[in-house]
Amino acid sequence: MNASWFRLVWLGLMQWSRWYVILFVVIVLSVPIVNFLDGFSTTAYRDNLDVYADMLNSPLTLVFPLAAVFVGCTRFYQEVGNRYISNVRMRVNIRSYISAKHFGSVAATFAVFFLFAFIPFVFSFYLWPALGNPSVDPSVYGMTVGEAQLDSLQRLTFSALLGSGTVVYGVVYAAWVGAVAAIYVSLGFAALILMRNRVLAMAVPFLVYFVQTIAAALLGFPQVALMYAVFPFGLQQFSAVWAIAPTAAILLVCVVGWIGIHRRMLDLETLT
Amino acid sequence: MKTKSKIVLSIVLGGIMVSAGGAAYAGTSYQGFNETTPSLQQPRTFGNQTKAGSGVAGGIIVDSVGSNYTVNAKLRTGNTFGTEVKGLGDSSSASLPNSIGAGSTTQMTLTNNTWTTVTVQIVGSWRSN
Repeated sequence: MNASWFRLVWLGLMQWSRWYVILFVVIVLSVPIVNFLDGFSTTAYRDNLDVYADMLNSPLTLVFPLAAVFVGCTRFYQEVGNRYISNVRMRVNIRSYISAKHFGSVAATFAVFFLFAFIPFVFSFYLWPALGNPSVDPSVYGMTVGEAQLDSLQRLTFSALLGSGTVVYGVVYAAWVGAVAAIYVSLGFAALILMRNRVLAMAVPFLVYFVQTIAAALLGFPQVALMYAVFPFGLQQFSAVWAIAPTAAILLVCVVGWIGIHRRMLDLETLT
Repeated sequence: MKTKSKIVLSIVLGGIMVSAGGAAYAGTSYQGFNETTPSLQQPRTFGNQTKAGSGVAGGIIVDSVGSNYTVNAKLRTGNTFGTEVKGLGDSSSASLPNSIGAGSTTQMTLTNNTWTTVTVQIVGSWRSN
């Protein structure tokens, strides 16, 4: 990595300033809050963790990898389709270009999906109490405020982190959501390089996520589903290991794929 | 009337009374259920209890939810719904706030989480109060 590599990363990030990408990011970031405001008045929540869970339990849960890939891979999808890379490799080292492009997309996607989880966290744990905590009533569940706090530690996967502090939970969980989105973008990026059908390549992360989630549910082990690994809502608490293991398997596939890509980069048809 | 006929008549009348009591369950006592909720938050509505007090909160006790999912619950009469309680797991309970009038035939509506892709068995009891 040198100055020109970082310049390539920067140029890649600047391409995010396209209006349709910005519009899509704004929609992604606003979906949890719009989803929550649409239905909170007819619901009783134990505490602010319930509020947070209801926010993130949005339609994006189902199409999470598709949203991540759209945010992170759209520009590269166009470059591969336009044979832009064929021109670039005459001027720039192709390994530097692809690694800078990959790094920039993964980092930017991480940032967007960190905010996707962190903004609702701030809204539900700090802004909502300032508004008087409408619809939050632990007595409906036969609990006091203190009992609800204790219960929250055992309610959801990752919610045990609340024992280390509310901010710790918010930051770590948002970082987890960002990291998982980044892994799906990395997988989509690799698929765009390895597969000739670009549309199918963009759909690969979603297909893996969706089919694995359905299979885990049908087999009676939803705790290993990729969907519950990142959005553990609607399921009782399991050890974080159950969430991390299947996602780590996707990461392993990514790593193996990228090792293969770097070894054969000069010969790959999509990059020539 | 012969003694034998009286006994038969008593049994028949007793049976009718018991079955009539089953159809209109007293809303103040808990009624057991063992239901399977459809996938993707499709509601499962069941039971017929006569509401005893206007706007008095009902109650639900969940004994078990299949495959460690959680379930959401609310009371219903016609197209009027009570407040929904969410995320009930094994061995949990909640009251069910509502504004349903006394004497209304009240039902229980259970739903899975929005993105639960399979049917889920739920065992517990409820009352409309």
